[in-house]
Amino acid sequence: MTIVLKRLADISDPMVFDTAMREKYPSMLGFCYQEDEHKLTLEFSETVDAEQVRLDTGSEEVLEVK
Amino acid sequence: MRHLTSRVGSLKRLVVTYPTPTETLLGTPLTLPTSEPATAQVGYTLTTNDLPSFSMSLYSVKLLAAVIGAGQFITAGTVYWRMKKNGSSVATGSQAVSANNYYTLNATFFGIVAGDVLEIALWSNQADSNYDYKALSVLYSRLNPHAKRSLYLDLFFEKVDTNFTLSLGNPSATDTWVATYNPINGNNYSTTPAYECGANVLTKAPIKFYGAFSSDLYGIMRSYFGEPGNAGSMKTHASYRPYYVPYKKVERISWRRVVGI
Repeated sequence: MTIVLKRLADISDPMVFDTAMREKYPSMLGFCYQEDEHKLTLEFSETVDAEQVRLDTGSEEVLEVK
Repeated sequence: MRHLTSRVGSLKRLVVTYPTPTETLLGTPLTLPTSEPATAQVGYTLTTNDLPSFSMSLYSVKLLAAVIGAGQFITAGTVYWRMKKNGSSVATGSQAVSANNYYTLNATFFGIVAGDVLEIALWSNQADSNYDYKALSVLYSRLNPHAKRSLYLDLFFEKVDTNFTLSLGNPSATDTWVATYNPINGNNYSTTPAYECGANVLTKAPIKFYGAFSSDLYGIMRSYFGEPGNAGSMKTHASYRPYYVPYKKVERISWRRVVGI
């Protein structure tokens, strides 16, 4: 599944962010953060709780779940 | 009383010529660093030769650069990436890669011009992963041939050519992305544009719209991939490198503009 979030804070170190997220979500395949759009897209191989992902990523809003 | 009169302009035909994509396959792959490199492995300084050319002057158009960086993981791990435009970070991300699989980052830089410096830095959490392929192609979006909110008659997408073809490495297209659409309802478009106007320019071209208002933002067409901002999409595959998004090329469009309304 893919979760798209609005996250205002930039991800300065993708390696640190990735590592922290994989500890919580072993099924995470990867992510993309678009700085101009403040849009964070995360891909998972299994279903996860989008609202919990929003909280764990420090994001402001769930934009899309697909 | 003032009478408003309008008239239908002469037939206009826009021809777009795309340069051949630039590709480089290294003879000897470079080992990926295990922390973010100061110097990006993939870098292009855009020249006018990299950009599509248009047969007439346009009111406005946006250019998008599709930049690809690819390589292989020996040990399973994670590849990290950062896109930079003129030295500033615009997007970043990561992707898990299985052992002995190839990775391909399909990056799109939005709103580019000649002289822009586009870069992708790649690194890994494994010491034996590498990078050996890069490519560049430029497409366009948000085409406004005339002033915004123009009314077009017989808007005809005459020629939408085959995908960009890459030849080096062991290339394969990922899937059939919808790359363009035509927002014929002016500003009333949706985020699923192929369905909004009831026609998918790519799969049905040539296709004609008898009447169409251009959108303030998107004009008469936009790219589905690479909009609305800079972004990267990482693909992995056991044997394909590059494993790339197959953009279509919209090469010829004709219309008659209604003026005086």
